[in-house]
Amino acid sequence: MSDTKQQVAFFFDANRCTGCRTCEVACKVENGVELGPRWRKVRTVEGDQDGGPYMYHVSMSCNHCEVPVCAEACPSGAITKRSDGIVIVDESKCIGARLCAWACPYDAPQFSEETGKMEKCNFCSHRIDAGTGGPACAEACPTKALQWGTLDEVAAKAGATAEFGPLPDADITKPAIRFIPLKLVHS
Amino acid sequence: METRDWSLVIFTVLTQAAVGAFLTLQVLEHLATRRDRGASGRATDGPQNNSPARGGAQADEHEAGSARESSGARALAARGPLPAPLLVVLAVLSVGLFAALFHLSTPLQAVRAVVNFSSSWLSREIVFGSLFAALLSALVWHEWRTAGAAAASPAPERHAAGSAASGSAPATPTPAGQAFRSPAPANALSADPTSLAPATWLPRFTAAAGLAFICCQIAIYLLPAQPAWNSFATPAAFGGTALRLGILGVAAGFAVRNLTAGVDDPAPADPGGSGVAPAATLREGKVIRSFRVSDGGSGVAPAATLRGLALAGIAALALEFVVVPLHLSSLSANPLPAAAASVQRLTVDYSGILLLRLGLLGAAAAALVGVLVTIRRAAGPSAPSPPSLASVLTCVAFGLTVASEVCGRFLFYAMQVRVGI
Ligand code: SF4
Ligand code: SF4
Repeated sequence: MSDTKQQVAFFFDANRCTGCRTCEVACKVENGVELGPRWRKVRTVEGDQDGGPYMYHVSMSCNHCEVPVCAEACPSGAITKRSDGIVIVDESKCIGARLCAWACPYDAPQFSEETGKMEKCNFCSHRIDAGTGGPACAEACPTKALQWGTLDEVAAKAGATAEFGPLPDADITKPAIRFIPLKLVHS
Repeated sequence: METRDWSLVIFTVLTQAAVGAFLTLQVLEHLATRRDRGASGRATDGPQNNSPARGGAQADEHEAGSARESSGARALAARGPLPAPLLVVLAVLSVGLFAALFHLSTPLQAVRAVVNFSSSWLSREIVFGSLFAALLSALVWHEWRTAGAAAASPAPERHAAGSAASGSAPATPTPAGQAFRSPAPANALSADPTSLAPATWLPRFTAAAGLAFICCQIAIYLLPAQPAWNSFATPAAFGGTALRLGILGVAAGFAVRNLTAGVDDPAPADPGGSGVAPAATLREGKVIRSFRVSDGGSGVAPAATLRGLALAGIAALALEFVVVPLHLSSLSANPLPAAAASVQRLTVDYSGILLLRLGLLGAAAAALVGVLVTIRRAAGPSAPSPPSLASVLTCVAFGLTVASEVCGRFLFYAMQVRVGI
């Protein structure tokens, strides 16, 4: 994967996610994230449309954006984008200014009160680099709602879109994630 | 709101006040200098018509003085060893910059914050903030040093100008440029700024750095992820704070000086009496050094200065009464849920603070109207300087505005709601 130097990406199908939060737990365990910061979050969206109520879940972490506004805003150069597109925080350089958290539209950077540093999803870069697999969250998902691949791969999936319901305008950061929105089936 | 957010409230309000006050002082300095030039030119006209020879000598003296204005002003204004207004600005700026450190979780690594100058507005803010502080310090040092030098030798300087005029006794007035180049006052001119002297460029560079500093502060918050900040309201808020606290801070400085002048600086009788003082006394002022403008020798700011600042202050206060409704209506028209959530914070959750903010601004404006009325009532040749009521009201207006700006900046951070889910 890292050899191809193609932008890595997530894929999320809202029709498959059950909201079990296995992905969140897998992330915590894999990366030893302490209580508090949540590198991945499963949120629930509810609403009313076409005369019927709906509810679905969205599992999202850092989207390793093609335009990482977090890195642009960071004054100490602690956030960088690797050649494979993974956006990583070098915690040794972080001074805790929290500018990335203001700039990111996805609430991805998580401040650790414990270390006084910002941390976030690193796409399990240690696994990618070691060639032992992809992000733990996607590999743990029981329904294949959450998957990973190169941006080209996930964008080629049938029905995949960049813009997704309640999410911010994808033009802000060009996030490396594609969605299958919920298909409403009201009878 | 957490401690680190309060550190940003203190940081932004104080540094913007410092930049605003510095710019206000520069504008006043510029206006005072221009008026001095005009007045000294006018003063030469009268005697010239009556007695050409005597008038010529007098004109020469005045024009030489005008050309050497800075050193002359320095010599006469060097009553205190330090430029108090600039020092106050520097102190306010320093406290503000120091407060910013508490926003960081690792303040000791703050120096790392300039690393990403090529893309981070925060890095640029720190660089220009530091530059502003450094140039301001240099200006303080320069003013202090030249004040000391001028104070050490005021007599020879004035004597040199006098002997140059009476010694050559020209029948026609010597142009200022010639007087400037004449060898007699050379010893005095050696301390004089030319166009390359720090007195010329240092204030301008300092002002430019201060403006760049505020522009970077504004740019930090223009984030598409934060609709409440990503708006004209951010430049209006930061620029408005600089204007309001800058103008009223300087006005309060004058007011405090007026109030204390009677104690440590007894006012002599107004020599002009007519409002147009002789050029010799007009050259006294140096705003950035002592909260003085040319004042006819009374040691207090003339009513016109306080009135001008009060009028400008009212305009700056009124600005907010335009900005707040416009900002609320533009947020309400924004389809993003985050924008609606920000409106909710401002008009429901923190409506009390918003009302307090506007109420304090209104009260400050009322106090400034009181200043204008007081000055107007007291107007007349017998009272060339504003009475103490106007000075007290000016200080009250400043205090109310400071409180209001703190409320306003609290709201600025409290209304922040990120886009998305
Ligand atoms: S593990 Fe899969 S199904 Fe479960 S919450 Fe995460 S994305 Fe949804
Ligand atoms: S999701 Fe946020 S933190 Fe991640 S790369 Fe994009 S802007 Fe940066």
